[in-house]
Amino acid sequence: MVDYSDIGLWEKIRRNKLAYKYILPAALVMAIVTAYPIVYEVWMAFTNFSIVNLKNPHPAFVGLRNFIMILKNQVPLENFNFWRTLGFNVIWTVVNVFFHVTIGISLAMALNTPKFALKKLYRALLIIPWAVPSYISALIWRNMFDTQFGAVNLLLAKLGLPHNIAWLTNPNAPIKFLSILPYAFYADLITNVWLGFPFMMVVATGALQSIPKELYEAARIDGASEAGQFFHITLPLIRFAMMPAIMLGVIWTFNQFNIIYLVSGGGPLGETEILVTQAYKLVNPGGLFGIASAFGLVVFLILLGITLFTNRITKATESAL
Amino acid sequence: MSKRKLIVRLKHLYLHAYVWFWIFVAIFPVLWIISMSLDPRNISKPTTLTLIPPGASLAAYLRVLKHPYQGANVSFVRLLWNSLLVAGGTALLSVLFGATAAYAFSRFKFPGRKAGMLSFLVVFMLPASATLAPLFVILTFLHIRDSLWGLVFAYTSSSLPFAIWNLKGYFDTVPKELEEAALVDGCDRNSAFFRVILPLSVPAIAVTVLFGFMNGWTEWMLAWTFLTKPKSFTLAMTLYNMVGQWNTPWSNFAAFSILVSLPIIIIWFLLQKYIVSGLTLGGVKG
Amino acid sequence: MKRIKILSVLLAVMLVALVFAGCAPKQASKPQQEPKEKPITITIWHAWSGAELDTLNDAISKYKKLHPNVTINQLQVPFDQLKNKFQTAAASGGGPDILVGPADWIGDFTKANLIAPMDSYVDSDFLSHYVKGAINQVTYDGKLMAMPESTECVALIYNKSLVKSVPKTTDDMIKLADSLHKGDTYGLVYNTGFYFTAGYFFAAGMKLFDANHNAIVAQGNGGVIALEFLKKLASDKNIIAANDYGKADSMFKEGKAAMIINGPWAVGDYVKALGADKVGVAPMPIFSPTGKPFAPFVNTKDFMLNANSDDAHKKAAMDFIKFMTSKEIEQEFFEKAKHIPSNLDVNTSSDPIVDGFIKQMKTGVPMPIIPEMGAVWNPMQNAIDSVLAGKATPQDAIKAAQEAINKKISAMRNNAK
Repeated sequence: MVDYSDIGLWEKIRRNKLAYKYILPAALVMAIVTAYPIVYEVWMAFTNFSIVNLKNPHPAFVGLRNFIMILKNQVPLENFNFWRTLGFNVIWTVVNVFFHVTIGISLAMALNTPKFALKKLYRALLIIPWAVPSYISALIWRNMFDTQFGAVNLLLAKLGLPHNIAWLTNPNAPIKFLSILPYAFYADLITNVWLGFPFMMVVATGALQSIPKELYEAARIDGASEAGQFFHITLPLIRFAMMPAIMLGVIWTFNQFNIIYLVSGGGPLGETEILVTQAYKLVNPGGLFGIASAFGLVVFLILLGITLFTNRITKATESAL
Repeated sequence: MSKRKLIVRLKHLYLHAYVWFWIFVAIFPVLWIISMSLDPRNISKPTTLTLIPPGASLAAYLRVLKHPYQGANVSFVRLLWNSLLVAGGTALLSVLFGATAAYAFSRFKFPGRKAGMLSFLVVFMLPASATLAPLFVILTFLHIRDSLWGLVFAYTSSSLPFAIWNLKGYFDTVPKELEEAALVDGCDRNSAFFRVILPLSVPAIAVTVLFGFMNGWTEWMLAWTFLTKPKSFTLAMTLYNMVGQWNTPWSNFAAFSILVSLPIIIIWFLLQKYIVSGLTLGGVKG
Repeated sequence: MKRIKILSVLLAVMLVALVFAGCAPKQASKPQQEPKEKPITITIWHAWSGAELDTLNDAISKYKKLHPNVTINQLQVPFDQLKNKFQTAAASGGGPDILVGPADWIGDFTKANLIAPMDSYVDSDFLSHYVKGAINQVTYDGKLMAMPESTECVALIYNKSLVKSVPKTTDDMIKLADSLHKGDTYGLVYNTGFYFTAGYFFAAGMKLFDANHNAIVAQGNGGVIALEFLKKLASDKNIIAANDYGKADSMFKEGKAAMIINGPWAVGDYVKALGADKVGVAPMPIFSPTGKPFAPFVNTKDFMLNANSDDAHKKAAMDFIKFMTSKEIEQEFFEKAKHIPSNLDVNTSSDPIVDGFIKQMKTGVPMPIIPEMGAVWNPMQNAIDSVLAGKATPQDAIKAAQEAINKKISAMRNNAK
């Protein structure tokens, strides 16, 4: 109900009528296509909705049972361990975003070097992974990681490196003390780094171009080394500009369904499952919509927590709001 | 002098080598697709690493151009047209609805502004693991489920959050004074928006168009769930249809992949000069 | 103000246009008194491709000649999307009149009330023309929920220019494979998917379910024997064993593998790649550790009837299904697409390839269609993969599999309550 004692609010709303009109079309589309299914998903998370309820949507209310099942590892999936999967999911996200950002910034800086030849051509070529539809890339990379005839192993063989690697089926870890990460993790990682670095490169290019050239000149006159310039000018100045992109990258990578599902399929032995691929397997073939919805909400809460936490520290979205 | 030049030369040489390494990484899979698409054997995996396989031919391209969807006689041109319609429609609606909403978020201080912005962000974080069925029901209820319009509608909603955030970021960098001057000159808010803000925001609009277009061009899962008439199918879904239950004809798949990717890559290159400045995440704040 | 009006009118027009643009006609047309006279449209969704799709189209045009008032609309859907697409559409009251899918979907669809029983349209005389095991498989809770079109199972497929005589036992098979390995040509390529290896588990004496549909795969030592056998195969340097269908398949097609375990769907491509006189099919050799024959899953591909269709559509759809499973059409599917007919009247003696599969089926076990079967696949696959990777002993792996299956089953039952 509108609080009539607060005339100020009413007045504010009245005065900003135009703003609401401007937002209306977008809000309408979102409400119909996205909001309703989300509300439905939240409701399903507290019921035992299963395939039987598709036609007869009167599932029983089960309270928090679905959530408890997830946290207590009682979900009907093989080798399911929520905390292990969550840990893997976090490692997956951190490693990916780390490579996206470092490769992206390094390439952006290289291409930002004054009087660097062919930079337009280079930028165009480097952007290709971003421009190819991602499900095509994923299917192609899966094909390329084949043990015997895959392009990756054929290339390694040409380079005289060990090349009989069963990328997608060997459940052992190539680096012994990182035993949680099988070969398939590296296959997924290579694919997703390939897919994601151009985005960060473009964002970093924009950030670098916004740094006034005079700063570098002043530093050079003061006798600062290249490294000194990087750590004292470039990094502090692009850090805040990169933050929203990194947040976006974290959210995207945390829920990167397509790559995991199409490249390693979560295998071998479920070692490369992330939370969203597990949720998908509950619905298909499981038909357990209720538990899957609860799973979706858990992922959402985790992401929200990460976002709010980083926001506190960095005020990443603060400036954008 | 010449020693400094030499150092600069060497540094450039090193950087070129570094960039070329990543270019090689970036285009290696593309070369692999091209190689497969030229392979006349249509087998699952080429056995050697050659760009031009023995007996290379364009037969696979001709096959998919002639008969892109096995299930019915739909011409490639028809599918292309549908894809253009869906992708173009998504791009158009994303820009139109995204820009108006972003303008309101950028220029008005109204109650619910922050909450509104955040709620668009939240959509990013919630994985839609079980929402296909309710979406199906509501689009059927609106009588747009089995049509390209239904797809445009659905894709627009997934493009909007990013579009709004990005456009709002860009509008924030357009000086308020320009608009205020226009208002003083007797323009109302709408004409200030259309005549002043939009023309100054071409890069951000280009980025929105690009992302909306890509979204509509490549989505296949919703399309396969919603559509039932082959004459309204899209390229992306018929390409996915080639991935067989047991086997994929890789040469055909590769050739079709290239045909589907080509328009996107062309549009990328056309809009490329706008991308750096139009992607406001990098924060070129004026 | 003018502009905002123009804008809002524009948006309103667009929204209205969006809402009404694609008014898709709903399935429903009212029950008709004389379905023979009035035009009626039947839709059918399937994942058939290649020769089987051509045969379907031929059958549809034949049917059209016999029944000019009936229009049959077929729609090809990618196999991995078909179940979901049908499920979503049928749940909201729509969907095609007929669905073509494997029998293991029947349990789920029946429980969810998405498909209708066919008993009132057929009699025992009609059913007596079909393979008994096939009819049994599609009967759920005593009701006939589908009509089998064809049956499938895996068997030994071999390259005749490399294999001169088919091995009688698995010991012989391994010896033969060892002797055939030269350079990059291997004696046997082996897909370790549970579907492909199930025949060993059953030959070793493993049972899937007890009478209450709870998993008992770890009872007895059948599972352990089979897993040990698979491990032995995988450690043999002359055999390629991997859970990768595409690889095994392409090696056989390139003539780089002498033997492969695969189903009838693959034979057409093999014949195309190697020539008809080079491809042979035979029952798998006797499983040496127990001396029992290989017992693969036998599954049917079936026609199902949408529960949402009205009586007139059901009746017309059923008539078409009967036509599709008639001797005449099944003969065509057999000859052109190598389908193994469920109709006993079809003459298959002319084809040694199909004959090989039919012989193999005699020792097979019908794949259970109870919903509990869905819980079996991933845990069993896990058992195989972890044993082959040396991550678990066969004993532990099969025990873990049984636990996982039963956990899934109890979650399914709790949820359905």
